[in-house]
Amino acid sequence: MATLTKVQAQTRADQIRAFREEQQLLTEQGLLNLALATRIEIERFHNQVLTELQQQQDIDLNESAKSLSLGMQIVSFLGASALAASLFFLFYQYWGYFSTASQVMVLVLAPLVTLGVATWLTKLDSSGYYAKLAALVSFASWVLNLIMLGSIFNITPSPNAFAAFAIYGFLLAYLLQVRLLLAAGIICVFIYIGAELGTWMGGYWIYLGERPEHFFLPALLVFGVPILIKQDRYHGFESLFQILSALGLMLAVLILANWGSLSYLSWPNSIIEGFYQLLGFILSALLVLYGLRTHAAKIMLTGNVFFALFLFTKFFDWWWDWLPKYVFFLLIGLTSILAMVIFNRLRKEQQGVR
Amino acid sequence: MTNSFLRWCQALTQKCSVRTLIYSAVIFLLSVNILIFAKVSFNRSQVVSTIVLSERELGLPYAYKRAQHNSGVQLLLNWSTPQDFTKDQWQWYNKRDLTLSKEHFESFSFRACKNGRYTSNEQVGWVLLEFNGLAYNDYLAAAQTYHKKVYSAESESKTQVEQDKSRALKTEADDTLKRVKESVSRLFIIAAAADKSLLLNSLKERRALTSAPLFIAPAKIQPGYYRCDTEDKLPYDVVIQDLMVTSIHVPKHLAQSLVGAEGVANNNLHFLAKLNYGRQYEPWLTQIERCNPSCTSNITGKSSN
Repeated sequence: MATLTKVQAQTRADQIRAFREEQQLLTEQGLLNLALATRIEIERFHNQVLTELQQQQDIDLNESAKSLSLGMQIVSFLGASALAASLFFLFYQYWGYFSTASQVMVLVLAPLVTLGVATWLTKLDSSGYYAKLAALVSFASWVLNLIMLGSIFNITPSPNAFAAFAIYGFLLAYLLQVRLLLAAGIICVFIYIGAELGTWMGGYWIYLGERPEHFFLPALLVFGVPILIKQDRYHGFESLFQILSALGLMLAVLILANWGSLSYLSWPNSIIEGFYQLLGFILSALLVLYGLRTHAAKIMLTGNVFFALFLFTKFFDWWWDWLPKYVFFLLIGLTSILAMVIFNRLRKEQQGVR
Repeated sequence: MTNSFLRWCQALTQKCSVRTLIYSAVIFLLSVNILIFAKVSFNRSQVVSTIVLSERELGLPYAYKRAQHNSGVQLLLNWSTPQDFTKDQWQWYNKRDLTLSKEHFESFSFRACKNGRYTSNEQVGWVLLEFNGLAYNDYLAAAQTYHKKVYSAESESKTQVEQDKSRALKTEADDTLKRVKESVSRLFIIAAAADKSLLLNSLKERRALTSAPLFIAPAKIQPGYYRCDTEDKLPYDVVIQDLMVTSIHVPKHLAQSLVGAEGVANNNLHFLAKLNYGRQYEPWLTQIERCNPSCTSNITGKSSN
């Protein structure tokens, strides 16, 4: 059997489990009557496939195992965060007792050693949780490396550090399939490009958040990554790229739609806010359409949420002051029901139900 | 170019082996560290200015004693901008605002006031610093004048309340003068501009007036808060937010000379520290000497530019 990714292996196992349940149901209802030899042959084949998948990718063979896997993911995230914090405090606690050369040696070696540990763990543990945990610690060591070298040598703070964090985050994410590190990398890309744009516009990079327009370009670039570079081998990477970039873009537009003074545009604030409100509606609708066309449910959901947010902020602007509160909330409730009706109709059309 | 980059990314994510990714990560980590060391070496390969400062200008962080989880020692550069003595108000805290010449102010290209509203628009620029020079002498002279004024003022009515008030004023004037003479930083930012060459001219002009050490450093600067006001407008005022590097790391071999019987965080610590600025205007400490309280009061410092 060809080597499958963990997600493909899990899908195959789920398929076998569903087949077995359906076969049993059909047999009980007398609709399927396979010869005993065939049944045994199929079962033996499936058992062999499941054993191979289990050995290759440490997949979950039942619902309880799936729940435990989710628990392990949460625990490994908490563990990695705690280990990263511990690493920071450990260094701070003792760095004063080391000479500059020793401090530098420790800082440079920390991400390299933890990278080595992470790759070694992938060979020992097929579940990948321990390797991912080590990868997160390696990323934290890299952050510590750059921050502390900056502090030891009194280097002027620079946004380039975020580019370095992002590249290492991406390398680790693709090496060990860690979505959390991919998210960290994407956030660092947002900060880096935003900061560079802020500097080009004549500001100091650290205040990149003061102008939400800094995030437009990184959001569009990150959104385009999975369109230009296929992410088939990596489960969840495509949606993570697009959801994080959609969130970045829509939040920036939402802020500008309410606080026009933060914009670079030289128009009066009311016109800037109106422009971004309109842009917000158009972009949310485009996200919904894109999600429908590409069958990306999470993108569609993001578009829906932002469309509702833009709509409700507008309702608030128009009616909060002069409508009685019960009428205001009634209108919001009625709008939600209207949206439900529209979505239900769309859903039925998608499923081909009349 | 773009296509080949995309093809390379495609190959990296789709085809390349785990081993290639590991090698890429190792090479990347080492390369960035090498770049940092190269940058530090380049900066330190030439000393642009050297200055000797005391504990008044290089203080321990305020919460140092409480930061028990941090064994490293950092010193903070304390500085101020010159006081405006034409106004009848005293600002004994570290002042941050500075009035520039039109030419210096316009070098920043700060955004225009938008609908009469202030926008911070902080930028990176350059500042000219003077240690123990004319700006400090003016400050000291003003503190002495204020002290004299308080002591010479005689209240005509001798009510208990007025006597108490006069006593409190004298105590405050004594404390102020003592602080200006003994503990306030003598490092003053006297000019700022976005263009370094403008400051080099200012440095030459100032050097003709004083022999005090002068040096240039990068800083974060924003327009003054009253720039967009309709009344009391100060169109060429800026606020110096901070120097780009304000926290100076003390290496272990130098930190040892700060540690006395009382530990590092001793308020009565007196020392002289030699600070170098390199090609990229990033500072580093080369020497720290502990000394008695009087050793730091009359230092004139040294600087070379």
